[in-house]
This record gives sequence, C-alpha cells and structure tokens, in this order.
Amino acid sequence: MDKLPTGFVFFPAFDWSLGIDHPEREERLLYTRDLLEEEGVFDISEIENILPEYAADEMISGPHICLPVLDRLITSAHRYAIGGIKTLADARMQNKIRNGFAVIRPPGHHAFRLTYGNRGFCNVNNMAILVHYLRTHYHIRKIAVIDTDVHHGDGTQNIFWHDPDTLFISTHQDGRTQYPGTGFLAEFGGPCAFGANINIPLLPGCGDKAMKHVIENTILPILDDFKPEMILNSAGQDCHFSDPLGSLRITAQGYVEITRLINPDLIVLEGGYSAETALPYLHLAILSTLAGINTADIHEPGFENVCIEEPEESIEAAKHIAEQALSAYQQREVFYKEAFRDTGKTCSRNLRIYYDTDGIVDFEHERFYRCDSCNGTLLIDSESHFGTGETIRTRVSIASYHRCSKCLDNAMKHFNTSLKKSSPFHFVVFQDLHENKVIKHQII
Amino acid sequence: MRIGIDVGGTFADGIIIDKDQITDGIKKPASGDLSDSVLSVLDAFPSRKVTKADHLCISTTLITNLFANQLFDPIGAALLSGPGRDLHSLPLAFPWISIDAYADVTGNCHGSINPKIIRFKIKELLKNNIQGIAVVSKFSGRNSTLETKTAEIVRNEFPGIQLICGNNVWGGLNFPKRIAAACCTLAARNFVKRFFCHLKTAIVSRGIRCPLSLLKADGGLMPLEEVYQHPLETILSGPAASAMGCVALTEIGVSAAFVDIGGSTCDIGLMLNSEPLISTRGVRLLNMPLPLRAFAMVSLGIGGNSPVVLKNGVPILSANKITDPNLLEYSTPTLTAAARVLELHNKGSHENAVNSFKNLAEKLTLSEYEIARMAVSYFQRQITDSLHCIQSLWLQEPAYRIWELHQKTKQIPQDLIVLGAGGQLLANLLKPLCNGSVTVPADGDMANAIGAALARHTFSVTLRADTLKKEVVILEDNLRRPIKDPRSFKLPQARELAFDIGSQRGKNYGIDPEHLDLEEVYGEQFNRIRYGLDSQRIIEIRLVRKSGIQYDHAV
Ligand SMILES: [Zn+2]
Ligand SMILES: [Zn+2]
Repeated sequence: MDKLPTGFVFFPAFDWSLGIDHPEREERLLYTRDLLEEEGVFDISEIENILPEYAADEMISGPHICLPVLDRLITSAHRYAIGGIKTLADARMQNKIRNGFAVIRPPGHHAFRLTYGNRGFCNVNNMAILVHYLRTHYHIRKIAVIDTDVHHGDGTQNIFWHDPDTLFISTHQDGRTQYPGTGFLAEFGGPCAFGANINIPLLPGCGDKAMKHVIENTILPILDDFKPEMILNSAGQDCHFSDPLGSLRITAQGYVEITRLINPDLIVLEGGYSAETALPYLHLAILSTLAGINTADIHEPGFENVCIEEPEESIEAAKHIAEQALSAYQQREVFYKEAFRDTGKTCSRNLRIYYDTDGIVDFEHERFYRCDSCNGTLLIDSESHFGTGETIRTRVSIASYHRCSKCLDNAMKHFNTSLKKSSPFHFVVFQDLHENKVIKHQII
Repeated sequence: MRIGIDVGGTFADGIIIDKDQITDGIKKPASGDLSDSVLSVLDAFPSRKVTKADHLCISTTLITNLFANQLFDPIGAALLSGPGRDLHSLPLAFPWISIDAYADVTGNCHGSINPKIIRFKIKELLKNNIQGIAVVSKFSGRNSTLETKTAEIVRNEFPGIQLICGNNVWGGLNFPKRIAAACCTLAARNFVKRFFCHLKTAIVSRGIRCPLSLLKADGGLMPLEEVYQHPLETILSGPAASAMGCVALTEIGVSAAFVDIGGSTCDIGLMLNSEPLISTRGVRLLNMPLPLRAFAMVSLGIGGNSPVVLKNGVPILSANKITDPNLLEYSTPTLTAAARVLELHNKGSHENAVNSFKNLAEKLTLSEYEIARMAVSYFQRQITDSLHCIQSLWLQEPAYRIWELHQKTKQIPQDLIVLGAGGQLLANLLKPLCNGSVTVPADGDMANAIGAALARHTFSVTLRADTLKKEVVILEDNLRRPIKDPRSFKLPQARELAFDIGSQRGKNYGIDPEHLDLEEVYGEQFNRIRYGLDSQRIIEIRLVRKSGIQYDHAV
C-alpha cells in the first residue's frame, strides 16, 4: 500500500458516565459504534484501528495543574482517553498513519490549566495534553489548534493564552447565546502571544455556507501566515442542525467540507449530542474524509432532499466577523501597542472560572513577567471555593516553553519564596513546561 | 469413544480416542477428494471399533476449496443500503443492484419499496445468469422489514429463483460482512448439501450411527445438519484443528505460540492460558470479509516438503508441492533437506541432502551449506512475521470498555510448541526464534485429528433488548420476543433470559448442564432518556460457550 492509512482511536468508555440522564453518558457513542461497525470501517485498509493505552500521570500533569489531587479529578476512563491521544500521536509521528481521529469520551476543551473538577463536561483538556505531548516529546514547536465545537474552547484558550507558538482558533456559537459565554474577538492572546488566540463567534442559524466562508477567508489565510508544523482539530459535532445543545446548522456534508478544508493532522473529539440521529453519520463523514474514502453517499437519514436554511443575516454577520478577525490578525502589531500601552514588564489579569457541573468557583489572579529573550514566566494565585464550603488556595509558578535560564531561575525563585510555613497557600506548584517537570508542594 | 479425522493438503489423519487414551492412529496420503479421504481413513480402522464410536468429527478444507476452485452457484445480490460508504467501494464478488429504501442506525426505515422498480432492477440482475439472489439491507438485524418485503416481491415475480435474506445469516452489525455471508452461503448451500448427504450415506452404510460434526473456525463442533444452514463457519477448519490439538496436547493453563508444520503448509497461532486467541477480523472469502469468530491464526503455503527454488537469484521455499514418494531420500532440495544439511536433525543421509542442493549451489556459486542456511532463514522469517501478524490481529480487535483494555496488556507468551508431521524434524529450526522453551509434544504429528476428536460444541447467545420497542432480539437466529414489562426489564432480567436461552441451546446439543460453561463476555445497559423521566434502556448481553477439550473423565 503506497498511501498511509488514517489512524482511528475509538474509545467510547462504555463503563463511565456523568450520570444516567446526563448528555455526556455512555449512550452518546453507542450509535456511533453501531454505525461504524455496520459500515465495516474497521475492516478496510484505509483505516487503522489504534488501541489506547493507560496514560501515566506525566501525560496529564504536563499542561495541567490538577487540584487537590489528580486521582480526585480523573478515572481510568480519562486515562484511557488520554492514552488514546498518545498512541494516535505516536502513530502519526512514527509515520505509521497519515492522519488520525480520536473519538473518545469524555471531552476536554473546557478544562483550564488549573483544574479542580468538572466544567462543561470536561475534567482535563485532551487537546492541550496532545499539544503538550507533541511539543515536549517530539519537539514540534509551531502547532495550530482549530476548535470547531459549538461551544467556545475556553479551556484550551486559557492554557495557551501566553504561548505564541500555539495558534488557537475557535469557531463557535456566539457567547451571548451559548455556554460558556466567552470567545469574543477581543480575547486575542496574552502580551507575549498577542494574535495567537483568535475567536470567531457565529450567530445562531449559521450553517455550511457561513462556516465555509469563515474557513476559506479567515482560517486558511491565517494558517498560511502562521505556518504551523502541525494542524490539530478539536472537533465538536454539536454544530449540527439537530443538536439539542447548539443552534448552528452544519450538515454532514458540511462536516466533510470543514475537515477537507482544514485538513488536520489529528482530530480530537469534543462535544456532539445529537447522539442517535446525526452524530454517528457525522463521525463517519469526518473519518471518511480523513481516509480519502468517497463521502458522496453520507448524509443524515431522512434528509435526502431537505435543504437546511441559513438566515441571510447570520451569514452576513459571519462574513463580517471573519473579515474583522483576519484584519485584526494582520494588524496585530498595531493593536498590540494599543492594548499593552500602559503595562510595564508585568501584566496582570483576573479570572473567575465557574465549574457548572461541580459547583466550584475559582478566582485566579495572573501575573505575567515579560522577557526580551523568551516567552516569559507566569505566576497564578488561585482561590477556589467548593460547594461544600472547602476553599483551596494555590500558587503556581510557570516557566514557559523555550524559557531562558534567567526566567527559569525567576520562576523557581517565586516557587521557593512561597514555600514558607506562614504562606497563605495550601498548594505551591512549580511547572517547567519545557522540560515537562512539575513540583507540587502541599503546605500543611 | 470419539473419532477425529483431519483431511489436509498432504495427509488424511484419523484418530480414535477411548476414555481419554489414543487407541488407534492412521495417517494416509490425502487424495484430492474429501469423501474418499475420510472413507479411506475410516476403512483403515478396525470396523468393530468405528461402529461403537459415540462421536465423529471431521476437519476439512471443503468450503475453502469450493470457493478457490469456483465450484459455487452463480448468484447475485439486491442491496438496500441508504447513507454511508459508497457501495462501489465494497469488495463485492457477485453482481448486485441497489434499491433505494433503507433502515438507519436506530432501525427506522426511510423511503418505500416500489415493486415496479424492484421488478425492473431484478430483471437487469438476472441477465447475469444467476440462480439465486441474496437480499441484504443495512441494519437488518434491527429491522428486517425491508429485506422481507423485497424478498416477497422477488419470490412472487420470479418463482424459481432461490432467495436468502441477510438477517437470517448474520443478525449482528456489519453490512459488508452480512452481504458476504448471505451471498457465500447462498452460493455454497446446494453444493454443501449434496456433498454431505453423500458423505453421510457412505458413513452410515459402514454401520456408523453416531452424531457427525464438522470443526468450526472457532474450534467448536457443528452438527452436520447445521452445516447446510451455516456452511461458512467451517472454513479454516484445518487451522482450528491444529489449535485444538495444541490445547489437548499441552498442560492446562499453558500460554505459548504454536506452529503446526505440515508437508506443504504451516499453521501458526497463539494460546493464552490454554485458550487460542480469537479474532473477529481478517477472515475473507473471495476477498470479502466474513462475520466469523475464528482463531487468530496465519496459514503459510510452505511446509517441510516445500522445495527450495530461486526467486530473483535468492533461494526461497516454493508453495508448489512436490510429489516425491520418499522424502527422506532427498532427491530434491526441500526445507527438510536443508535442515538435514545443517544437521538440525539426523533423519536420512546427510550426503544425499547436501547433494540435493548441488545444482542450486553451482548456479549461485555458493556452497550447499550457504543455500541451506538461506532457505532455513527464509522459513524462520516467515514464521516470525506470522507471529507478529497474529499479535497485531489480536490487538486490532476493538475494545470499547476500560476492562477490555486492561486485558490487552497481557504479556505475549515466549514459549513455542511445535506440532504436525514436520514438527519432530524441524523443531530445531524454530529455536532461535523464541526466548522461551521449544516443546514437541508426543503425538504432535497427529495434533489436528486429536483436536477434531476432542473438540466440544461452541455457541453464543447475543441478546439485544430495546425497552422502547418492547422487544428482545437474539442475533444468532434472529429470534424476536416481546418484553412484557419494559419498566422492570433491566440488566439482571436480560441476563437471566440470555442464560435461559443458552441452556436451552445447550440442551439441544446434548450438553451436560454441568459442563455448559456459558461465559458472559459482554453485558451493558445503555440508558436512553427520551420522554421526561421515563428512562428507556438498550441492553446488550453476549454469552459464549468457548472452545474446549471434551474429556470423558473430568481431570
Ligand atoms: Zn460543545
Ligand atoms: Zn526569559
């Protein structure tokens, strides 16, 4: 065979759920399994079935700070989901597959760097873990993540906010009408990574036409300019017109087009809750597109001759935001001067992160120390209030990927000085992203 | 007393086992005809013994040969596929037509059956001179209405055409496999029926009146009467016999790789804790994938008698058989001769063995020893590749749940067991390939026949319950039963029902309830929340009676 196959990790975690009536339950991928089995895709040479392995702590604690302890956050289902991403990435990097699709549960793109529990169905961020693994294990520097879930990938945005080498582009339903309420164009990246975080919010009603326009006229030109070594896709199939949680109107053929245009190296599944009627056919559409199999006969059952309408004003709004996003990206240096005019060496911001599933509120104060010769250091003070009345205070000192030795020393210094007995923190953490090294200290 | 007969490419072996002891063994050269081979073995046994047999099992390559030699009936397929993969990309070995209506993943039907269009399309299909039509719809295990309706129209309009419906052959998922199974079953049915009726008459005329079985690809027995319905289950019967022989000839609980070296073939497999690995992928007929549970094994077309020939100036083993009556005279260079040259065994004259390589040596201006070494290392490479292939076949089996993945981390065994007619002479060739021990069990040369003699019935019960449709389906025979009280029908109730059906099947096979050994390999309840708080469920349960050794006296 002269053409490499498409790698496929399918791990529906049929023994894990967030609750019997939760949208994120075992049933979600049951019909996908059934359709893929029925279509016989596991028997064809274009697709290679790759089994997940059990992910070790280092896979997760690289990009994340899991509090209070990792094992309170994740189960073996998460470990296998993450292990599936790892085996898929390995297969891609070892040139055993040409591209790959990880259909795994649970999803991840709402999980932030500091993670205390479950928010938006996510505990840990599969995509961020993948980026971190590719960067630390395979030394891939420039990576683009395109998030096409109907929800803003706020967790992924948070984790790579200060990383100029990770281009994060999220298309999603406008935050004024959809969880988590963020993802506007103004969220443009930290001082060192300004313009590497691009949000393209879409109004309800946007479908294939709007999406195609956004990809062709904004995402592809930005990718052309950024020149990533690898393109990853956080694929949420909740943009489908039948999805109970989203209000966009993408069709199965629309997903074929999205996948064809973005042409990602690896795809990681995020959401998608039209479990029975659409999701299986969308997964088949995406997988077939990656594998170069004829997709002409793939459509939603019962929708042979139905045309999905897209309101003209939604399309117009999409065209407008697409144009704005591209021009903001092109003029990022001009805007940069404006945005960070009054800040000196240190930039700070406050975040309030709400965990809808677990009822946790986390207040974070972030201080970013700029550096002329590297991507700087980050200091995060977090105070997390649990529904149970418990509060956890954490200080995290982070040295960036490709940090200079001075910044590494500084980050270490921040860590060491916070270790005092009188320290107000329960946990003090030092994280060296570049070396994938974490020191976590609990103050009792 | 049990009789096992294995008919391979080179030999037909027979064995009689009485109270767990081998009392008689026969090895005859296989004649091209399966019936003749079976009967010649039976006739070589003392007739007072064979007439007293409790059971006779045959392992055979009949179905494989039927398809390899194109002896099957010409048939066609009418497909109801709907959205999904392009039908033209499926490996279909028969002419086919496509009909527009379809069932989706939930079993709901879309579109309607138009008798006029069907009549027109079937007429087109019949231009291919076919005798039968397989009607197969997507998801017909979930909803068989479309297949039934289409078949009815064809039956009325074209009497005399033989028909088979996909859901009656394979109720599980996998449309391409359902098509293949329906088509191949229809194409083989008449031949198989004729053949086994004839064989049965011949056997009965010898005063043998015990149950007759064939060995299935999963190492289980299939009563002769069922072979007419499910002929495909008996392909790969030969390798399955090797695997069962290996189980029978080793201690309980052994994990090892095994190689059965025959005259012109090698069967290679892996056994974990006395269970040969099973694969549901990889069995193909006419290049079409079949829905078969089979031992994950690789069969090579080379064995002890394979001649050493040159390919692009390199010595390799040829798949062509040689018809040398006295192999140990070494008048031709073979794998066995090469092993003799290198003194890996001491049967036959060393000088003759060396001389057999003389021509090749002159051609390549190398020594006879070097040629022999190259032939042996070619063989070793083939075996190593096969072992890797099996491992990856097994790893390719999908795992959907956490505990299934835990299973996969088991260590691949390091020991090697060598069986078959060539096992004694050639075991030393395999020593460098494994890190563990190499064992040649006593009677290993009759492993296949022993495996056939001692195999037991295998079967599975796959139950799928949908409380919304208030229906339970048993996929194996497409048996449907209503659920009387859907509200209280949960995993335990489904499990109980599956076990009831399983014991009933066991009883039909005459299995002692104490040795039923039904194992639940899958049991899952999926809650579907549709109408407020009224939770509906999909429940799936799979029980399997695995292959095993039938002992007269429990050990
Ligand atoms: Zn989503
Ligand atoms: Zn620096």
